[in-house]
Amino acid sequence: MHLFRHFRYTAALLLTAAGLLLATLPSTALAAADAQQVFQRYKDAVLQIRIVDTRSGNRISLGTGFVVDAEGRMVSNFHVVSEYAYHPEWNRIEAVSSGGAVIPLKLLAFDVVHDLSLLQAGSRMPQALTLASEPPAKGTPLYAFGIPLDLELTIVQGLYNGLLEKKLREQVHFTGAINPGMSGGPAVDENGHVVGVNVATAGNGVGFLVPVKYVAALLQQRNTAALTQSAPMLTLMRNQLLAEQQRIMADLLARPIITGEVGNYRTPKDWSEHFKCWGGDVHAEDKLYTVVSISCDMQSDIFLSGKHRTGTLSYSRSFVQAKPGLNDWQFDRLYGTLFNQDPDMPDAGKDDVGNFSCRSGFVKQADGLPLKTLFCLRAYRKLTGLYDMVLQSATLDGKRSGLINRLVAGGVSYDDALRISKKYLEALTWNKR
Amino acid sequence: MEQALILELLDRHGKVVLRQRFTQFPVRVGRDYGNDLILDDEAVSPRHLQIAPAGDGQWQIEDLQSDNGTWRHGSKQRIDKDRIANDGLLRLGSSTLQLRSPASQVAPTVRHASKAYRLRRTLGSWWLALPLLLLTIALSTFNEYLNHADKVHASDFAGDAVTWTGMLLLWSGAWALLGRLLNQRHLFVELLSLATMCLLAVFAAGATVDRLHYLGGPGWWNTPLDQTVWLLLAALLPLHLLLTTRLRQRTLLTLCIVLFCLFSGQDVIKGYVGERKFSDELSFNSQLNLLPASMLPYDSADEFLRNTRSVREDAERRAKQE
Repeated sequence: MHLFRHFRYTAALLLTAAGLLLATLPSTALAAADAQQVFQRYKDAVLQIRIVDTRSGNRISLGTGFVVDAEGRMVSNFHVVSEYAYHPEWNRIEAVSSGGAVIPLKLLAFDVVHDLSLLQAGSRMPQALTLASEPPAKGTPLYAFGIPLDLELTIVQGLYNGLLEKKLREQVHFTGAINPGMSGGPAVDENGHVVGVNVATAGNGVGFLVPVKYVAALLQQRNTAALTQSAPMLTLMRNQLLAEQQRIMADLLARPIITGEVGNYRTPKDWSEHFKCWGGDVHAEDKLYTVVSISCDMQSDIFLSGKHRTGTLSYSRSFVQAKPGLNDWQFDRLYGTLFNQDPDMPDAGKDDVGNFSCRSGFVKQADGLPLKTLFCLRAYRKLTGLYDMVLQSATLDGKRSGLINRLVAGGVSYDDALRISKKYLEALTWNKR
Repeated sequence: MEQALILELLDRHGKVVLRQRFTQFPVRVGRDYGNDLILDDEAVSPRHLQIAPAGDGQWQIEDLQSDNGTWRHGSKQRIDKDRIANDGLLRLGSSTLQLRSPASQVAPTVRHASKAYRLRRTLGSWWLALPLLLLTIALSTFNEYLNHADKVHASDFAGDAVTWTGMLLLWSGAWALLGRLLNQRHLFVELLSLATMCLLAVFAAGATVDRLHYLGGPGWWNTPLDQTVWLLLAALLPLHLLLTTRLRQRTLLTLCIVLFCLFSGQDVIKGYVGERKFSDELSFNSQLNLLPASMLPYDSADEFLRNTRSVREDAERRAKQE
């Protein structure tokens, strides 16, 4: 159980989330006519992408993809084809046209950080979409293509609501119903220019697109050799993830941590605009203590596999205070129990990571503040050099109050784990008056 | 001086179950009713052996062509016609006989002033047992109380106190019954004192080990520390058996070792399974404020983080396990 779990905002990925087909959109006759035209004009460039297990012939992943050039190159999400990256030996990628023709595909490249993949069809394709060179103005109507829930090719009308720059990894906010199976489909403007790639939904018509500039960057990679072996694909993933985590860590390490006053302490409060913070307090009448908690989260993760997410960072603090009536020993037990509550971990399965290894110790801060500290790591099984990290501390100077701090990073290198831990710990001090 | 043979029939634990004095020789031993000592042992022949004095404090043994033979205790040497020293042991059938004479030594008298006697007297006194029982119940209930951080009432713990009392009385009662059956001793109060003292010792050991863990952090010493608690627990059962049965000390020691191996073995298996079973959880010593903050060994944040190389290596190793 965790204090903040219910405050956590989860942008469910299209593959796993069951969204609601409840779009409240203008449905004037004009708009309907536009949608009809856009659909008729560009539908042949959009195909269903599926991963088939060659051992059983079963489809194990469904998504959408679109053709980007006459040579038959196609773009989809990485999470649509991720199973192929782990097990190319028993999976194959196929595209299915609206007529039912099956076209075998090769994987040319991917961008695991922005959830994109570049595929190659064996034959020339009848139609290709062009990429938008400029982002449209906020409020511009967009049309998202896709095959939701393995139904027919569908067009969804919605609105461009700008780039979410406060997100750690930029996304386009698309107001329109994106549903499972539409992953990897294009969102185009009235001229058929791709503005983004369907990637996620938060439900109720709040959708997210990968900005088209990352598609353009992926297309720049002019390698023609297809990726067919697991090892080089894993190396590629690892390198992309390491570069991404280094970018984020370098940014966070360069920024000062703004601290806030809590009891006798100053503790990390604001770090960067990428974090969103929620409070979660315990103030019950029948409890002989109060807990004031704040949990901050980057609300952005990178899809690695069905159960595995990375690229997350969160920190939290809980200030525990005894009320009159709680004796010192009771407080110590309570404080220990709260320290033992595990923070929200990045999602991972047993094939993705090993178990955590931990070390606890006592640290005296530069100003003399005594802490019990805990540092835990678990290593990624397939992506060497990446770890999930947990840092925890509890102040030991108070008899009837204490402050517990937690920092959790998903998919960092060991050196960066140490650097970020050091920076976070250093920001925890006594409050000098 | 009149020569006398005292024959003692021993049970499996070496305790005397039958003692008989003879002054007429030879003394015949066997299963039928013509013998001087009649043994109810199916493996003993109707006329098995005879014993006569041989001078020099020795006894002359003659096997009367018994079916299963007569043996020196603890040896594979069959006796046909031989001498055996006073206080010597004979094995026939599945019985053991000890040959005594008036010259045989007895253990010194246990004096009322001796420590062992006084210890037993003290252990068997309600004046000790009752306060110990109350202390144990108070401590265990208080321990339960400390786990609560919400508003509670004393009556919430009455159930716990009653359970503890009942368990202790039942435990001592069961052992006392065993002692009465096997050893013809009345030991209820002694056993009650023993049980409470054992519990208190386990509490104390647990609390000490907790504090040492807290102080010491990770390291090789954690394993032996945990083992001491297991050793203490493993000693409890033989200690009860010592009072209530006639088992030999060697058997009790063996039992103690076996129990200890079982406990630690289970620890090892648990550790092994825990290591291999996938879990999201952090396992660490999460206790806080067990000792005053001024007593603790501190590092600087830098030193603490520098010392995490082993965490990385350990994490790598765990990720490589199947």
